[in-house]
Amino acid sequence: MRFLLCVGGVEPSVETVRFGARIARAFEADLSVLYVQPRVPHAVREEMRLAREKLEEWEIELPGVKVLKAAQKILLQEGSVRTGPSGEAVVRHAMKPGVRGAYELHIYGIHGENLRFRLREGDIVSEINKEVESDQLDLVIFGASQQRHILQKLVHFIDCSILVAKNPKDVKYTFLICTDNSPTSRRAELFGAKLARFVNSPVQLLSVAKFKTREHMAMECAERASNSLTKAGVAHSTIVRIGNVVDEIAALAREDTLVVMGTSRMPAWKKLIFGSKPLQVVERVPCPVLIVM
Amino acid sequence: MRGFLYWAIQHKWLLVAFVAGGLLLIPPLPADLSPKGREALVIALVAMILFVTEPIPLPTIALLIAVSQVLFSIATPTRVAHTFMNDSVFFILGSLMLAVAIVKQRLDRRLAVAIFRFTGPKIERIIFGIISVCGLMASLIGEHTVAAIMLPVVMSLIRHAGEDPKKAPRLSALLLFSVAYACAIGGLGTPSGGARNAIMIEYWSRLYHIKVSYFDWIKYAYPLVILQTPVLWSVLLRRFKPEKTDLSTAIRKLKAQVLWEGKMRSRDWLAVAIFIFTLLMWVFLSGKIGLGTPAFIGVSLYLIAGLVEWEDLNAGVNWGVFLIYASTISLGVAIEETGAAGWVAQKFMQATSAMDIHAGFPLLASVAVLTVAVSSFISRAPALGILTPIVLSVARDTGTSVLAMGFATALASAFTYMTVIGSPPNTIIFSSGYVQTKDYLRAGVWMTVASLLLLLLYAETYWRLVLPA
Repeated sequence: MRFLLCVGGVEPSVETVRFGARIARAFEADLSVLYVQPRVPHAVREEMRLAREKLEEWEIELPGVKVLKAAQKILLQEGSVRTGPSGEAVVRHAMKPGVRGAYELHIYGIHGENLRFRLREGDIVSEINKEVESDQLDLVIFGASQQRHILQKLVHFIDCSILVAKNPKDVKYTFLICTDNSPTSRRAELFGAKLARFVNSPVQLLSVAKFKTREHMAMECAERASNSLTKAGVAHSTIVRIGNVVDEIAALAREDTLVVMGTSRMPAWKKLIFGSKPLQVVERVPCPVLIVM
Repeated sequence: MRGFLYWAIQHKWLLVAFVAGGLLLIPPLPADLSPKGREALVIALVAMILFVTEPIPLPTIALLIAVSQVLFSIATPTRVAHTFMNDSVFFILGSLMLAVAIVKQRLDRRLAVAIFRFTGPKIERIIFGIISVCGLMASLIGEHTVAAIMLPVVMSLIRHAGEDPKKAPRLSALLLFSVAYACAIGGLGTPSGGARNAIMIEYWSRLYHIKVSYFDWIKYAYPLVILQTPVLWSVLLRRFKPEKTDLSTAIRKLKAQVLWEGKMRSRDWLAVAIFIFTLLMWVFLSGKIGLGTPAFIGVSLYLIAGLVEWEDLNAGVNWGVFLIYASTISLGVAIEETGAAGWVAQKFMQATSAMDIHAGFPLLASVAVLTVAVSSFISRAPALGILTPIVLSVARDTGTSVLAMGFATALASAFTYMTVIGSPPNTIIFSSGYVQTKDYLRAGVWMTVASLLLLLLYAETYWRLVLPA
């Protein structure tokens, strides 16, 4: 499997990188760590390239490279990186430009998986989607941005399953898998079950009926999902609730919960104007949310 | 649908620009404006919105300017091609190539050592040295190139100063802004300092038949660079009082770092000689052979001598920017030739007739202030390329010197100290991560006020003596 972990800011969030590393290690997945910096105005793009070349000649690191190196250090401390005899990372190639349109440092994970540290420039969603397309990614992991419009863009427009690492903690998570019979929620059941089994976590299965009259449908849905989890060998408990799905998820989610749900089926323009349930869940719960496409 | 929606969000300003342009074509035509004039103004407005918001790559705007002129029948395809290519555009292209050729010689380490050998370790002298050298170099090879060359020099100095840049923010800001602002003030000193200067020369020549040679420009503009140098030095040292005033250790480490470069080789001397030869051609022959030809001779000599490969030029020249400059001149000519510039100038004079700014020195001062405001938020050369024909038209119609007005506009456009996007050097030093946007205001406000006052004083005294009427 191939995962992408997005980092930002002046320094990467240690908790987010650790969280992403643990998830990737559980799957023994290839992991790319991506830093997207704002696009330079076109009028100075060549001059910026020249300045960067000069900085490299003088062996001065670019700000984005610093963030990636800090992320590499965290992964090294986490034990996710294969090291040589003197404890340094085994490097496939050093940081270099022009690797599928990005700067890239390529090292190896502890079991030989590929760990790539990539620096891109431009709009964050477009650049992440370029990575999704070129690397056929299975999951994109990022922290919960404080800026709603960025979070909204990330949740609604990334062409891949996403894991929003909100308040990541070094705890054993309880998986709260939300199902509603839609194709994406069925995929969420499978993805969540697989992940829970890898990390040996308890699982709760949640099915919500909006009205009392539809309770039987929610129960049928829970039963079907329960059967597929049992087949997959995942021990779980089942919860059926009546009410607003976002309210019910928010009521059940604690800091040590990992919410798993499918993407919204609403048209993109509606999601943009009214928001979507996954976005509302991300905003309301105090824990990570996995949104499966 | 999802992809289209995201595209629409990302390109909302493109849609706004086209809708605004379309709406402006609907109302009845003003009696004193020709249909082609209105269409030229609409193209200019759409181009300005796109230049400011940059929803599409800037060279695309250049292509759209050419296309729209033909589609609106403002000019024939041949005429558009003719207005796209001229001596000033050749000069801009040649200068961009020369800059790449010079950067490829890797003389930056030697330059750094030379500066610090001359200044010694005291911060006040170092800042003066950086400002003087950057200002001089920016006058000759363009401000953005010098900023790109000098960025690692000052970042190296910051790193070797032993202070964590986060713990010594004023020292970092002082060194970085001395590069960026010196490049800005140096860039106004000669035609090769910035593309906007070459664009102005083209407008004077094409629209008013006023020939300004390379030497003329130096004569009229360079004293302002010299006057601004101590002002910049003083403002920066006052606004960013450094945490450390003796950089002996940093300079020693930097010298050790570049020791392996050894003595200047013959090819290094040849590179310097070719540039001096080009410069002399600009100064003494530009009146006869233009500005573009000496630049092309210089580039050809670099290529013939094997000092630079064509591939280097091909990769290093910002061809898109070259296209943008060409397109803005073409659009500027269209605005003038369709009578749109005269119409806007007339409206401007009607609007300002009640105020005391409609002619002479007050007009010049107003235009200078307006230019700083516009240039601080828009890529300068395109903005000026579009606005200049109008400004010159106002000057002509009000009896103000077209030459003085052009110089005031071109020089004031360099005073974009207050924003990150105001000038390429500002953007380049921002990429270091050592300066914040508020730092630009901290020194930039003072520098803007000081520069504008100096310019106006200069216009009222020096230009009155030397500029032809």
